[in-house]
Amino acid sequence: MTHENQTELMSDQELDALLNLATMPKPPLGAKGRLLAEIANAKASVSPHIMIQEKSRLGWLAGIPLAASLAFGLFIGSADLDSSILPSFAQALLADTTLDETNSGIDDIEDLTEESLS
Amino acid sequence: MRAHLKLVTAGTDQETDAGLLARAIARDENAFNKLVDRYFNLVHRVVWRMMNGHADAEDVAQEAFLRLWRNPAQVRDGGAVKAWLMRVASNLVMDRHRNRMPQAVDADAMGETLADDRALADETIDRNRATTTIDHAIAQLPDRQKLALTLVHFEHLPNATAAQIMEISVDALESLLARARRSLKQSLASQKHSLFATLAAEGN
Repeated sequence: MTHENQTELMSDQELDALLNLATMPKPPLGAKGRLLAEIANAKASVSPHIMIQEKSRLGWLAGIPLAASLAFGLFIGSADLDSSILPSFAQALLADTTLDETNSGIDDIEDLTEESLS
Repeated sequence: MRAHLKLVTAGTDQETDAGLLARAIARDENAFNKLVDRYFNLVHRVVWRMMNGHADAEDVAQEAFLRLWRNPAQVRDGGAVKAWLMRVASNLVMDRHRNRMPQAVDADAMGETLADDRALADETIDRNRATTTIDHAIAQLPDRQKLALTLVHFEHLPNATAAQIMEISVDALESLLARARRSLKQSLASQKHSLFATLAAEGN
């Protein structure tokens, strides 16, 4: 008997009836409980990720004073310090530093080297 | 009304899948547990059928739910949680089959392996052996045919829904179903009379 003939021997309704004999499986006992326990474990492992996200948000907040500090620094750098912001003793210190820089600045290294060689 | 429709409306819990999913995204474990209650048995049945009754079916069904729990926002349509779970679970099974040697039918789970078919042909077989015969024939189907048959015949899903789960067209699904049914008719034909005798005996 060929397969084709065998197929003709069984109708769709007959096949459906036979398929109703198939196993209708049920999950093993306690399967849902084991899944929920796994979820509890997964939840514990997810927490650090959430904490890292919180930390990164705090990182943005920490950037605010840093940005303000940068802006203030730029302002100081561009302002006329001698006459405006710095107190008098600070202005004197700055003046001394400026004098020192004229003798020991990095631009002088080349000149000093030439002098020592000659 | 079909079984899958009953799942949504049965009982006193009328909260929609979309509502439960939204709460699960907010890490509400109770909402997720309700999704587990709603769909774990269904997902397990699909996986069990595709894995031919292998004991790992529970692990695979579990993995599908864990993936949902880890990132529930990946389900774009909240109303499609059930379809998403079945798609992920069936893909997990097919990935396992691709990565391993073809899986033999789990004889322990499905009962005794059939003896000589010719011996069974002309006698009435008991219900357990008939069940094993049918399960064995289904187990021989290729994965995608088996999945199509499982979704449409055993889970009573409409063709359009089953096609959506399998991410294929309805025509392609119907082609898979037709091939599956043709294969089953061929493999069961030699035992047809004994199987129907069993059915008739049950009817009496």
